[in-house]
Amino acid sequence: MRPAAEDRSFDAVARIAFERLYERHFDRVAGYVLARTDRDDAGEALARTFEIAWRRRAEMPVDSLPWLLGVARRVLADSRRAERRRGALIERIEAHSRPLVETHEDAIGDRQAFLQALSELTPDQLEALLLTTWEGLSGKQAAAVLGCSRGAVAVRLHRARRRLRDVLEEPAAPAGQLPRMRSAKETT
Amino acid sequence: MTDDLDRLLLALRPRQAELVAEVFPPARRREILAGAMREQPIPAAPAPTRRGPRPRRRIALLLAPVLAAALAAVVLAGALTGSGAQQAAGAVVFHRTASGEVVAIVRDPFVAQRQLDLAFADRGYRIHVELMPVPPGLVGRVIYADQQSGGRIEPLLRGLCASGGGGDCRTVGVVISRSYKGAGTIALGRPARAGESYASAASAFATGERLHCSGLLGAPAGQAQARLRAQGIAVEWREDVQAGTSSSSTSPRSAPSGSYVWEGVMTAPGRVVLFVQPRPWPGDPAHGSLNDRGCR
Repeated sequence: MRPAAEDRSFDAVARIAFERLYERHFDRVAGYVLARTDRDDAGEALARTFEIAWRRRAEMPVDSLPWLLGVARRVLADSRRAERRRGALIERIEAHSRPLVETHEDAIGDRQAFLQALSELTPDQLEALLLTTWEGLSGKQAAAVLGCSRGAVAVRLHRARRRLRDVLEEPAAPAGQLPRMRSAKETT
Repeated sequence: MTDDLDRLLLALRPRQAELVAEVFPPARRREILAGAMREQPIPAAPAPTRRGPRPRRRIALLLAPVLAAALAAVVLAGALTGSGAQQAAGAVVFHRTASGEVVAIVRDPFVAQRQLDLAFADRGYRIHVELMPVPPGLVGRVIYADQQSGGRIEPLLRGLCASGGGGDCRTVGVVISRSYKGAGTIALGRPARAGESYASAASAFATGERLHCSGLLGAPAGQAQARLRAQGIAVEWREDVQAGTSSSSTSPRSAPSGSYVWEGVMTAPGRVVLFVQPRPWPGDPAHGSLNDRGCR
């Protein structure tokens, strides 16, 4: 008929715990969102993400960052402009990333070629790759973000790396031209 | 090749920290947090479910003190100047204001539940008022509420003292709207007896709470433990542990060395949960803006 006393007892503790979680993970979640949308929409997406997190915090696992990133990912995907955003990810990387150091260029090719290689990946492959490299997540954590199995993440990573190697071994595209991104339907 | 790929990918990672700091300055961060937590201010428990086919409305007013205080002031004015005939109904005193609202004040916050229920039933209300032990700052406030549509019941908060003493005393009571016809439950905070655990809690450093202006916010954990022990307050510790991308909270048995107090919650009159971190309290209003307000 009414909530048990122990369930009601620590609403303040829950608030404080959430504020601390917010402080801990805000930068990571904000960085994730800003890498995938423009700054005007990032605030809205973040607000929605943490609103959902607060409402559903009972479902939040101890390892909360992947869960939060997963919420942010779904919030971005729900946006009507998600398709445009996804297509702009490579351009965003290009705009905001650091210049490549010379040794990397020597080893793998120039920056343009690598960006071109990234754009050849499917969205799922690219996301798995960036979650495990940029965000430093394990395969299990990346699976939690993507809402798939660890095996699926492993397959996507394997295919992504193989495709990157294949593309990088091909002659580079003319400077300034980035191939279109593949859709999720083309390859998994 | 794999290592080279990873290094190259990392080199392409946008300058996140600078961008995040630029786009989300502290004020914007606080705004987003406040907005997120504004929804469902009493969400720790699932919404109570009750029998009956009619839709019920759950209200949550814990974070609306300004509105509630304004309401209480209006009701008080009506009670004092209107046609309100005061009737004592055992455990509860009822006033009807000039505007037709009914103010019900609980005379004894430790009254038996059955007496409370009977008092409201005698007046024709199907209202279950439950009193729950809370820290001083939450006395008179709503802990949770569940009621049907068709009128409303609101907390009286303070401003009117059942004993007639006025001043700082906090009254436990509700305001029942003129049109209220349904059945409902409202749980209000009452003072806690010695040894009782609080059913709800606020920050121990908030205004009116036990550790407000105590100087312990930001103090080394060991120092806080010694001072609280001297005051007869038992401490339960919570410490953040960060391992890679994962973070969790541990419960050390004693004050963690090298840690500082960042937050606290009184869970009973002589018991507090202190949250500590291995870095000094930043003294930034963003970290608990209501804590130790007015102390410095």
